[in-house]
Amino acid sequence: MLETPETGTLGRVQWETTTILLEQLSETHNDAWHRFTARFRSPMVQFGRRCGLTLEQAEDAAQDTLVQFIEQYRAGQYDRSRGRLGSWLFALMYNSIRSHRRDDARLPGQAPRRIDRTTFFSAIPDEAAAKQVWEQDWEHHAFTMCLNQLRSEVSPSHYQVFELTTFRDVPAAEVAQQLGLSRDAVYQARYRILKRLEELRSQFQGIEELPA
Amino acid sequence: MNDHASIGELERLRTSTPPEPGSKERSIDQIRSHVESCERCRIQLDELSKLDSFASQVRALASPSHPINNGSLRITGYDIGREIHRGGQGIVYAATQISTGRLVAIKVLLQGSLASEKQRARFEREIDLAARINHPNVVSIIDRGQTPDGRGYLVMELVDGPTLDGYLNQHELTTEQRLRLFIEITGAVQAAHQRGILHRDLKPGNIIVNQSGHPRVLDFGLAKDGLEESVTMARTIAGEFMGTLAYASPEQLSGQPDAIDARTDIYSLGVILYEMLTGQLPHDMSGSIENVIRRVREQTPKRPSSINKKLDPDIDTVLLHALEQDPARRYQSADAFAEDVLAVIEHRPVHARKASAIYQLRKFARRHRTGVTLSAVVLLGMIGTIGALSVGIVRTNAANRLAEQRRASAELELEKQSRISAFFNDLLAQVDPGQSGPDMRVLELLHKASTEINDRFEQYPDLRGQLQHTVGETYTRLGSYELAEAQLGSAIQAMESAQPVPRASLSAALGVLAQVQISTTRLDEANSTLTRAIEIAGSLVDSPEQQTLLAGLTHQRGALLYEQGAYEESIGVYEQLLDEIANLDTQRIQRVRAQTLIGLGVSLKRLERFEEALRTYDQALDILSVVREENHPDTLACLSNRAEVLNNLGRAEEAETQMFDLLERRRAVFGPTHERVGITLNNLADLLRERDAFEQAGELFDQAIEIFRVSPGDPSLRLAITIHNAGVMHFDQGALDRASPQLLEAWEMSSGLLPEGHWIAAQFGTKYAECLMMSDDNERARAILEQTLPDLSASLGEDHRRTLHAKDLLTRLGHAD
Repeated sequence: MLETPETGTLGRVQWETTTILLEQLSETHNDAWHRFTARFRSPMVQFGRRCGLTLEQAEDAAQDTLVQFIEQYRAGQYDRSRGRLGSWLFALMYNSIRSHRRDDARLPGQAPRRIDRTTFFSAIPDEAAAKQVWEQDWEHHAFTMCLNQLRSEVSPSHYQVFELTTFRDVPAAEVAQQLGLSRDAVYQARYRILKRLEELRSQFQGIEELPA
Repeated sequence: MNDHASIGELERLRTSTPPEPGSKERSIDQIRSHVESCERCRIQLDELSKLDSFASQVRALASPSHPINNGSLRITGYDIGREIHRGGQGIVYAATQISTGRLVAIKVLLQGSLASEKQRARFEREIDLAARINHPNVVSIIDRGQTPDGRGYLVMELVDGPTLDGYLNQHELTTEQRLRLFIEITGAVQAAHQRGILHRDLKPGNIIVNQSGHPRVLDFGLAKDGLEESVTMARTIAGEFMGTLAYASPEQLSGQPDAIDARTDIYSLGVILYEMLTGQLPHDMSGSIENVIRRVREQTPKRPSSINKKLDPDIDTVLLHALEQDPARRYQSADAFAEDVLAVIEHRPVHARKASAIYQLRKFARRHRTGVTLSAVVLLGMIGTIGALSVGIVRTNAANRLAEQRRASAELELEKQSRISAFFNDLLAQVDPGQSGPDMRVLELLHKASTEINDRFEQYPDLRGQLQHTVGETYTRLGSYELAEAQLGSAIQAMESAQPVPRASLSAALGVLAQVQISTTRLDEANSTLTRAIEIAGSLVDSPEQQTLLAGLTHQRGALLYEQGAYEESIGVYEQLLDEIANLDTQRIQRVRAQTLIGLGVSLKRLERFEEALRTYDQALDILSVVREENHPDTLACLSNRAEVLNNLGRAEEAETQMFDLLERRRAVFGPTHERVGITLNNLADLLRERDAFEQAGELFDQAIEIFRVSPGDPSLRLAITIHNAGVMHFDQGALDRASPQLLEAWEMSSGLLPEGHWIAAQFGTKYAECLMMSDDNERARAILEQTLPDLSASLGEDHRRTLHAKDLLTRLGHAD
């Protein structure tokens, strides 16, 4: 679920494009690794849980996936034709989940570990179904990250403009009246924020923008 | 106009928003006129449109139904707080009831979930009913209403705690603790059912366990009807509804809203308990939604104790009973389910238990694997029948709606159950290898059973009848037709004397008796018996079980017509039956469907419609691969028939390989002297004969004849056919001295067994006549041919190759004269 942004509660968040992060990763940059995992680990763990892993297993699966990803990336194995960063991570994560579930099934002489279902799957779904859920989650995560960043970049009143016009569909004139701004200023603010959000989202996807 | 349009102006143009009154803003027309002539502004306008689409995307991602409650959600009388849960139906907020200061949960339904007036009225009615459930394990509904923007909401007490699955993860509970927790859940469901409210969406996520460890069930009366809708949604949003589907009953998945009743919730409870005890769902939920639905509807779940070895086997019985695909075979109330769960905890006999005998019979079968020369499959068939008997007992409970009546009935049934249990305990104790040696056979077990049933169940004619029916049916499967008939006769008599007459059981017993009569080629008797069985079955109340019974008997009607040589008619019966059951989909019906297809294939083969027969067998095998075990007699029979057809189609090598494989499997399953092994030996030998492998064929014929000569029910048509085939082989080899007595015996035997004028007997006679001709006994040959030719012509037609062959022989005799 997308987190609800609360106006002005966070300081400015350091932001770097995923592309930069990846470039730093290829140079065995430790900080980059931490920042990279901080950015992408959470949706992976969530996805693992949705696929029936326990929290511990989901964390392991996410860690395995990230390590595998970095290794492949550093080895220059990334193939652009395989699509976006999200798709790449999905393929790795899905395999990792399957392997955890297989291990589960092999536990000898005892009842298998309880499936720690959070919402969706009691058993691991097929790849197509899983991909659909992954993509939804991934989008949510991307937007949450981007919105957090956005909130830290713009003034509270401008963020409020964005929130009222975008999330609640309040007409510009009404927003202007509520916030004591001109209608034109509301239009301007909304425009700038949406542009920035679009930019942040594109930067978050990162790998799409790597030169061929 | 040289000034470019501002963002504001372009937005106004895009949204047709006029200037603010009294402002100096340009009019829409002025802006449009500029944009039309200014490329830069046009590009910017396009960009704004794209950004607007992007904004919609952001909005959709942020909330399908306004998750943000920064004051936007207002409900009079409540102070709305944080969002605590979001599900398929709506969002749950924590809130404070202003008048009392009490903490509550408010569930706001999704926009559009109550689109029509009818849906709204139904929602309100159900919520009003649900609000009346006053049970410690049900989350109470306090209030309901509608938000200013038209969404339905309901106010419930706020329960602090994890959902059931979360709770089980956090706490290491013993099996008994889990069972007791589950019993509390069933209490909630029973309370709702007593008020006529179904849940329809029971799952761990709808059960919260409070701080004291007591479960509270949420959302009674909230589930939409028409699970088809969920199924459709599941197809649309792959995966999203899998969690819910995992707990849905087969009737929900089939999209049969009319079939949904309290037993639907029983099924979901079964899934919940299965998962609570094993950590797994009863069915694999991976793969496409269609496959998931098919598995739920067609497959029997694994025994829970095979997953969690610590579980009492009685749990298997209880759970598999709750998870029966046919609602009529499940527990009929949550109370009955709970009662059995409690019985497991307290080590008492459970109602659904397929008698402790079942468990012990299985053990017996395992203990005597080498000694049980008659198949374990047959034994399990017997067990199945006893199981059905137990289910019948539970069903009787269902008829008694009033609690007191049910209790009294339960006691009586428990008494009967205990007697069955004790009966089999004693019986099996007698056949312990320590006492009977390792060669104890199932037949001996049956003999012991049949001698004791009368005494031990004297005062319960219904039970006596059903047990004798079981034993009789088992004898039938073993081919001990005489013994079978005696038991079935007693069973029918006992059932006819019971009050009330158990008509379904009586019809089934008559069906088995007809089977015996067909197998012993008493076709007229079989016809009367079967007609009576079908009449009784046809007069029963329409139910899935009645449909299955009637379908099974109709299948037998087809088989009888086949035996009577009326192949076209039998095909008509089979095809009509297949049409009639086309829309039925229980596992038992699938079995009947497979049997019917096999029967159809046999009749088609007889009419030499080999390609069609092959396709029919393949269809049957597809079904059998799902509903039967790999080595089930029906599967092996189908493979046997298929191999024969392959041979008829000229695919002899393929047929030979398959028959050798089949021979091994039948020997392993039935033991080396079972008549089914004899059939395969005969078929294989016949195939080898056609391929001129005479020596090997001769050995196999001899083995088959030996089996049929000593098998119960002798003399049989199978024996006659095998002797005939062996005789034909010797004839082909020119060994007339060996061929002649065999062909004669086969002709005489078949003439005695088959109705007068049957083409098989006529064909056997013709072959014998041919053999006589080779020995220059033309006079006897002519006499026989003059007798057989009209029969062949009448049965097979003037142009049939067998008829033409007989004519040719007579012509040759004419020339010889």
